[in-house]
Amino acid sequence: MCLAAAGAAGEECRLTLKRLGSRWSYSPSDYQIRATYPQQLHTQFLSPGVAGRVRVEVAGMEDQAAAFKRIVKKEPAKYQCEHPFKGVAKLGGQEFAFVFDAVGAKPDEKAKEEAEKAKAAEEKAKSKPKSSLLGALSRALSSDESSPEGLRPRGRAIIYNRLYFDLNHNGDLTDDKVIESESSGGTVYSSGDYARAQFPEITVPLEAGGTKYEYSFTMYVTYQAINDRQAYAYASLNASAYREGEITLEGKKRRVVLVDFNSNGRFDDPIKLRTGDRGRSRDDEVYPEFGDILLLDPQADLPVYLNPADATSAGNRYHVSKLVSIDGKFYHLGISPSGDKLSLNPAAPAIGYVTNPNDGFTAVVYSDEAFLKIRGDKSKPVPLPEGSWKLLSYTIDRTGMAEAEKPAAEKKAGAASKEKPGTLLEALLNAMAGSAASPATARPYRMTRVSAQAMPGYKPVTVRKGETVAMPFGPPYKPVVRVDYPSGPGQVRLGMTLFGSAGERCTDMMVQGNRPSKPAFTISNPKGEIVYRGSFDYG
Amino acid sequence: VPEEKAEKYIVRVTMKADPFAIDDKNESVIVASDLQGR
Repeated sequence: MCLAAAGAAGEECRLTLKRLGSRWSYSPSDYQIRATYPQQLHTQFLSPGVAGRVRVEVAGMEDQAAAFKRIVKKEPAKYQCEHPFKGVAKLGGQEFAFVFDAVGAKPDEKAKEEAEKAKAAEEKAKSKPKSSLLGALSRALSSDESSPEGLRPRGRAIIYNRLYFDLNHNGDLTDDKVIESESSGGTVYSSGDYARAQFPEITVPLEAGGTKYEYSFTMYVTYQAINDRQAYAYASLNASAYREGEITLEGKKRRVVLVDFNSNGRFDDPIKLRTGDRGRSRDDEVYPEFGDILLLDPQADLPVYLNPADATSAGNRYHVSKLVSIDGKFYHLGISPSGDKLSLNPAAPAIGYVTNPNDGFTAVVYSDEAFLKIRGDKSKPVPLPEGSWKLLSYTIDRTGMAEAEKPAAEKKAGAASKEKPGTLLEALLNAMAGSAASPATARPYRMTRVSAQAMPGYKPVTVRKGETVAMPFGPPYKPVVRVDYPSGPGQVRLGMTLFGSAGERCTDMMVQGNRPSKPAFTISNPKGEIVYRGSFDYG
Repeated sequence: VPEEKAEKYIVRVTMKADPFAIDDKNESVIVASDLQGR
């Protein structure tokens, strides 16, 4: 609903709060709204004597414990399980304490049966020495040097099935409705030392920017026992509420969906650059700190393939930022913290142009002022406001273009091919969405595209009014091989990464619906003799 | 680092990903001590 013009041809609209409901069985169009980046909450459990010698410290755990102690005034007299998981979630700028507990019989008979099977397998395994990678990892994670971890009994996972959440935000965990875990389908899973449970959609009253609203989210929790003395628990909180409305741009009505992508209860968070070492890979590419996501006409412009975290993967997807570029025009984007009001007012910055030698590119570029998504072709300069711009990420989509270059007979043969199974990336993204359901994105037919993430050292491109400047990125891609880790006595595992012409790291590549054929490699000794031949697998 | 462990091995990758060009002159250097496990 449009309220009034907020400037010359500007629009402000009201957005209605909607809930997503169950996390099971959803369509591709639903997925683009549902796929959010979770709040991640961790804790660890240690038997006396182990503390102080732990090799794995998960960031934020101490802050969680301190915040819980500070805000909780009253807890249930007794928890039912050995290791209740206590934490604090932040929603709408406020802190909410919670505790996961496990009571009574397992909530799902199938899970119970699986747990019993796992127990039997454990008993059998006890008589055998550990030699697996998992065993090695378990030993690496452990710190009890006085007792070799290979000799420690395995731990039993706790299947959390009860959640105390301070819904009324009064610091009392005893006066809120107790939330039971879901118990159908694959929502509860246990395999001896690992368990996972999903909780139903939870609604909590929030207030942000002076506006009260009923926000919804979902949580799932996992428990991993390292052995009988150490365990870790991990909870994931995903937004289950979004905002929807309609706005008129250039005389055209556009459907607006606002996604609380970072699942923090607010809808006005801009994308930023992550600072420090948090989350950096060894390649040190630029990692964004996710904000919220704006979708325009999400149903009419359904992406064939979606990486929810990367706006370059879908035409209708925009990172929330002070300035946005829509159909080649610039707008000041304004959003209330609760997301109930959104405005798009035309901006008139001094404009220059950038070019790139690739057809079908979509890139996110950033300056001190904004993050902008740009789309273009090699023959078409793309407008950008004056300033110093760097590359964040891009997708070059050649789907259909490569097909057009093929002989007719090959096109016909290709048309008979079937849809391929989901990729690892899709599986990871699905996990990110907090769901064990099947990948929701429709598998695009014969998709040809490459995506990449830039490095902090990307040389800024200076855009000046009326001038055109090159913004380099894209092929050719250079394979770089490194030793990943020792995989056994006298053995190492090699990893290969593709880097683009501006040093960007390739994150995904598909050629006519498939991964390119396996990269082959040779290793030559200092004399120039080939001493090994092999090929890399994707993953 | 002993001399034999500092020897450099060259890894060359061959890959086709048309229409995306791959640099076929690529070379990565790995030292012997890495190949023998660390």
